[in-house]
Amino acid sequence: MKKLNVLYVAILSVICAPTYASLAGKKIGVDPGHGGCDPGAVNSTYSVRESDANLSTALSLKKYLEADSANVAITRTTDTRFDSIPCPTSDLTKRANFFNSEQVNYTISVHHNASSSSSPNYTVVEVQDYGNGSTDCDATSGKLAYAVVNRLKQSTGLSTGSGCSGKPGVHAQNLAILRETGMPAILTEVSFVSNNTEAQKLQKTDYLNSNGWAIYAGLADFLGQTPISIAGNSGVSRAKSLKLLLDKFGISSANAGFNSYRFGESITIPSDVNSSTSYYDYIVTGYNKGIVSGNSGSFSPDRAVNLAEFLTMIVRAIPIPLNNPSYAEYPYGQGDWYYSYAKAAYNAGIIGNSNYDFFGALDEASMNALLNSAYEYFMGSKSGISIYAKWTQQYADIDVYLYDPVSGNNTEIQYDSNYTVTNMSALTRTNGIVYYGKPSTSWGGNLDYDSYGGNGQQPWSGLGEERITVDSLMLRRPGKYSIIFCHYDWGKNPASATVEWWGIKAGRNINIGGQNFFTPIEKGKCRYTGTLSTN
Amino acid sequence: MKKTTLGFLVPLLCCNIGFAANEIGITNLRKLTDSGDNIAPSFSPTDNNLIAFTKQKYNGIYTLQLDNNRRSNGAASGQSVVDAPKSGFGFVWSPDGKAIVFRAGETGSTHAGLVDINNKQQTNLSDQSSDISIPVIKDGKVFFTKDGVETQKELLSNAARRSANSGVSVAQNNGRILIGGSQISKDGIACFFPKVSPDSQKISYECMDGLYVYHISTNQTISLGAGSNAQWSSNSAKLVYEQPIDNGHDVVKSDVFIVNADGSNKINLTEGIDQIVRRPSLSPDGKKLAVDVNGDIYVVDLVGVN
Repeated sequence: MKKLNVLYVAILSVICAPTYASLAGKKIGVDPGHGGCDPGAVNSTYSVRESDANLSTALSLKKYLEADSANVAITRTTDTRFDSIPCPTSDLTKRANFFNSEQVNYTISVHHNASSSSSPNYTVVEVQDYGNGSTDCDATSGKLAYAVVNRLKQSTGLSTGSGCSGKPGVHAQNLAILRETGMPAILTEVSFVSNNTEAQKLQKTDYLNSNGWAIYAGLADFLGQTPISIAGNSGVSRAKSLKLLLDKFGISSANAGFNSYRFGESITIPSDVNSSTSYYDYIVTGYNKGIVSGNSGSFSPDRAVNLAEFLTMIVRAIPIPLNNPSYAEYPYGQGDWYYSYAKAAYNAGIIGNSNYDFFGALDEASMNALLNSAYEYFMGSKSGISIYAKWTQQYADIDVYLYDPVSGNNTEIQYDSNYTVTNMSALTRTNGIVYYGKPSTSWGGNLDYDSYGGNGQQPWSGLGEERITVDSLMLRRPGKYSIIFCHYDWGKNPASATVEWWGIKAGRNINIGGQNFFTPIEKGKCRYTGTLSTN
Repeated sequence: MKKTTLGFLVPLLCCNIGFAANEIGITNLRKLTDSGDNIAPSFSPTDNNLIAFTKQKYNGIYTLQLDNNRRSNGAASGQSVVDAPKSGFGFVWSPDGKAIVFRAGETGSTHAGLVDINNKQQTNLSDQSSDISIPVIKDGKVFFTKDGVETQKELLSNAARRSANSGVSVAQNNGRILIGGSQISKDGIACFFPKVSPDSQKISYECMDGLYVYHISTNQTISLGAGSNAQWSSNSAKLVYEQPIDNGHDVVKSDVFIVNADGSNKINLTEGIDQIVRRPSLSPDGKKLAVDVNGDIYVVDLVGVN
């Protein structure tokens, strides 16, 4: 009989607070097309002028850019066509010279389209066509245009026009504001003023604002930044809040691992989560790790997150068990869907004993304060321990156990030279095994998510995973928890399975060098892999 | 963009248009380049046969000698003197015609520089900065704002050196034109692109509502009306500029004007020519006019100009 000593507590993940400089240091040229005596296209049925729609959309764009710390040079803020000589003498060259002089990083000219027919209605973003087959389709302008048109597709709900190869919705045309500016430049044709349905929408402030936000968000996507919420400076989008959370806790989006299937449940990424956006990996990771969930078919990545939603994400991410009978009551919100999360957050010291506005937009400062409190809980002495495991052998059925010998009447774990546990039955008869329990339905000494075996609620995906977390309130301190993997024998299971696993204690990966372990287990055997100290 | 056939050029090439006495006009048009991506010519202040220009998107600065061979063939490509991105907007010749001062880069990473056009040696006038305005030359000094702070360098021996704080500065800063730190442009409207006359007594600049000339000695501002891309004559008495007309999407026509610095005697040099004639520049002797048309550089003779 051999006993492993206390395992490897390697502190490696130095979790640095990320910076979100957003668009600070960038200067953006915004040009609301037409204006004054030049109304652009006009829908006479609904008295909608393109110049007005351009201006409203551009002013919204400016608002969001400035809220995200960008400098903005704008060619007009009123219904004006600049020049001291009446139309048709005009000012496109001045607009370009203004942007060139100001040395803006990007030029965005906001226009709406029109057709002699009232039928067409789609969104398109123009880049420069120099003639002779030379365009900006594949240049920086083309990439920016593609990011913007993808956002405009969402905000307008329209299809895209054709044009540049591989970039649906990006089209090349020889236009003055694109040609005469020295920096990457795009011209958005948001939608068709000549379409009567669209013209009615273009009279609505919210619609124009959402299109202005979409252009801003496309620029943010292009720059690899997560856009602020459409609610503006006071709100943080759900997508960005998830990114902040994952980054704060060092949960890598590249470490999602499980793709489209999590803890026995098939995951479908909602259709409003655009795979080309900068936050896509974060949302996929959020779903994979159970930090966000739901089958409503939408994630609403751009909507401002509220306190109820953000606390839910935090509690799930750490995770903090729900419904611990030892929890103090949180006196507000009983009966609301978020209550158990608020209660857990309250008992973890993340929120105080106050009646917060759980449904108002959460600003970034408040969000960071919550994250700091959660991080303190996560990293501090109150944090629990978690073991994550996954395997890919079909039909393998692995369970993870933590065994506390003190709670188990001091029954010692016994194992052979291959670390195969030889007294598993005896151990399971004690109170020392940290075992099943689903946080949403019952309280246990742990959280146990299991994709196959265990609680038996899962369809088969061809791979498996399990996470077991011991809440800080249930941990014995000081204590030593033995980690055991069991590979059950249901007949058709593979003879051996290899479990890839890692452990987290006080927010840190316990594995040496941060590398996951790979532990082979024979069918019908339980393997002792080490002991985790809670000191 | 309107397709330019250059058909109008043929009559000018084959036969000069007659002008009445004292009538100003253009004649004898020559095409200097034919690559279709050349814009913004600017005559040397000392050489009637030397032009600097830039390329589409204002990338790089090139020079072109107007020798007879190139005039007839119209196939010169120019010689690159600066290849820095975005250096071609607002570059300015040194008064002795031996150097060009420019700004290159973009917000966040930009610098001002000077290039000796003979040996192409560049001298940095600033370090890499977040924000640098287009440099102007006045009283032998180079002025620009660097991250909002007025900076001046002295032009000496084809290079710029740090200057003591002397002379009255001229700069553009966040849509305002400043002289000696005081704003001379209107509030509430963006103004930009200042150009100092060779005698350092006048400054032209653009605002979103038109073209202006500021006379330093009188503190008088004169509106020239619609116009862009002005260039001073070597004697500081006149300006040439363009007056483009657009349809909200593209320039559909552009005429070139010449006007006295006091706003008088404004003449359309390209009246009746159905072409998009852009960004004019006068030769130092006032007898040639360089323009760009449809992406190529042209030179015409100017008659009737004093």
